Amino acid sequence: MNKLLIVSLLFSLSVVGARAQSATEATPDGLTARDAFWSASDLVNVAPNPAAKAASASAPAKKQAKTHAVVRHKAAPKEMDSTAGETSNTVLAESHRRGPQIDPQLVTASGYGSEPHLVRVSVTTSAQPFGLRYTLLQRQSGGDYGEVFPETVFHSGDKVKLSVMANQAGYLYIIEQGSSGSWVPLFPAQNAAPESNHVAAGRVYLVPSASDESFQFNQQPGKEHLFILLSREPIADLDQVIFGLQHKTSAPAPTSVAPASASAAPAMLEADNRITDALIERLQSRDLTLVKDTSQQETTDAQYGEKAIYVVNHGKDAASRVFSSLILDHE
Amino acid sequence: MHALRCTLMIGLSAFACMAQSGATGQVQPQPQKMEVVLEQQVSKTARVVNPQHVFRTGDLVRFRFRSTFDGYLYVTDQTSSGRYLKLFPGTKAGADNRIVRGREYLIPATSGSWFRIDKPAGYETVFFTVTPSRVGERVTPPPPPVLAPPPAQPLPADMLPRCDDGIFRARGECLDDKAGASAISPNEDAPGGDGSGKLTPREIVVIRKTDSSVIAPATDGDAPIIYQFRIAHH
Repeated sequence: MNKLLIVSLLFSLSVVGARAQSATEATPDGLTARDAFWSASDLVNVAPNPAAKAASASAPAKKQAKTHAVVRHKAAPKEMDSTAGETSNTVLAESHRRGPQIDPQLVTASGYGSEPHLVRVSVTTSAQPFGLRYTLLQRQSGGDYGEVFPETVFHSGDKVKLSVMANQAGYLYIIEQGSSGSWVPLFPAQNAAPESNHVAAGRVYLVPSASDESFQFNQQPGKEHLFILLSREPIADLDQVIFGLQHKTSAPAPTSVAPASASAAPAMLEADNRITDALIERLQSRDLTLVKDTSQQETTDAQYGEKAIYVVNHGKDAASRVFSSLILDHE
Repeated sequence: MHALRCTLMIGLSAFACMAQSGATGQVQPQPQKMEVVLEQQVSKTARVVNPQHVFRTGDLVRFRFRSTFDGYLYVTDQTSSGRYLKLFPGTKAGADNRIVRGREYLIPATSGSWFRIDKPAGYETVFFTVTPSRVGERVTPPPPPVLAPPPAQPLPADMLPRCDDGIFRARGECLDDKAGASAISPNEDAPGGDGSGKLTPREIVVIRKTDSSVIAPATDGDAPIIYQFRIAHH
């Protein structure tokens, strides 16, 4: 379909943190998927938010941080052992086990809202929260694209793009399920090069990538379902993933423990403010670990200064995946 | 038949295998799925086209079919009168409609056979039915005679294929979102395997790709897999 556009202006770095948390645990001390996302040690540079050019270019970091200082502050990163899943002062001294960490001010200066509350994580890649940040960009009257909430009701002719960032390197897949129930792999293109969907940590990828391309809502009202999947490893058979999505979204709630073989499947997390408890119950099985971080709860404009969805997987499996579904309403 | 005509029927022998790529090695167990590729004849050569491509009158098309499981394939065209016309198997197309996993089949079967898109503009709906056993062994009534369809009437403008520039649609090619493979809704009529009796289909998953359609059963069982393939044409 489209080549990835890499918006690259990279910034500086700083030191890392650590965190381990069961996906189904409540986030300790108000720690959110957003905080976990920005805590990854691979995320030391970050491209400026293409939808917040004004903020990143003109607004000083201090000013931004102050504006959104309602919840977040510059407290020292919380120290948590990634394997034990609890705070550990002894880990602080073992700096050699830690990787770098992004400067929270850089997050704000780059147009991603208020400063995140970073936590320390192990330098072991597979032990770090594997996360995805994405936003929906809508074309404004002036031609620029601005972030909008996913629950925005769109109208015929509206044009949108997806802005996606990973906190570790991975492979990005975007799938659409139309109103007819048919599935359409949107990204990468069917005949694209094998590495065309590889994403680097901290970079922003726009889909579609070309400046003159966008997704446009047609004349038929309805709901467009998008599924965004980030995998540490390339997925050889995307069809199988789609078959799994179909089964998991249409199958009745499991009444017994999933078979042992299912435990080998990569763990996934899903965050969507429209996912009901019933659906989460249906999705839950031994191979799936879920958190119900919602875009509304996580990233309301007043709270964080952005309109993004963060999804984080704390699974230690090297093949871990992050998965999120998005419903676009069109009338 | 409404607008889909099979040309060069001479030599349409056994429908069976055409190409057998990848069929000789040991077949690994795979989930049940099948793939349908729509091809158009361009300059005497076959070119894979997007299943949602909007064709023009006179275009020649054919299907390339492959499955990961054995069974029996029935292909039926829905005429403008609403009747079902069996395209395969048949006396000209061959009676052996058994399909073998991993093999590739052409519809029509022989290399010189294509379906021609004829007037009037609209959608041609071709049903694919795959059953684990031969339908004739279970459904005894012979297929009814196919009546000549009434003179075709032009469709209202809002029912004609149109180039869709809507959401998630690629640029540059005239594509119609209503075309291509899709499941049959519960309220929709579907033909039996031989074009006569009705069968209760299994729930399926349809994946639309730019150069093929993948169909898989969403549930286990022996019920047939039935899906439709709509060809849009001006």
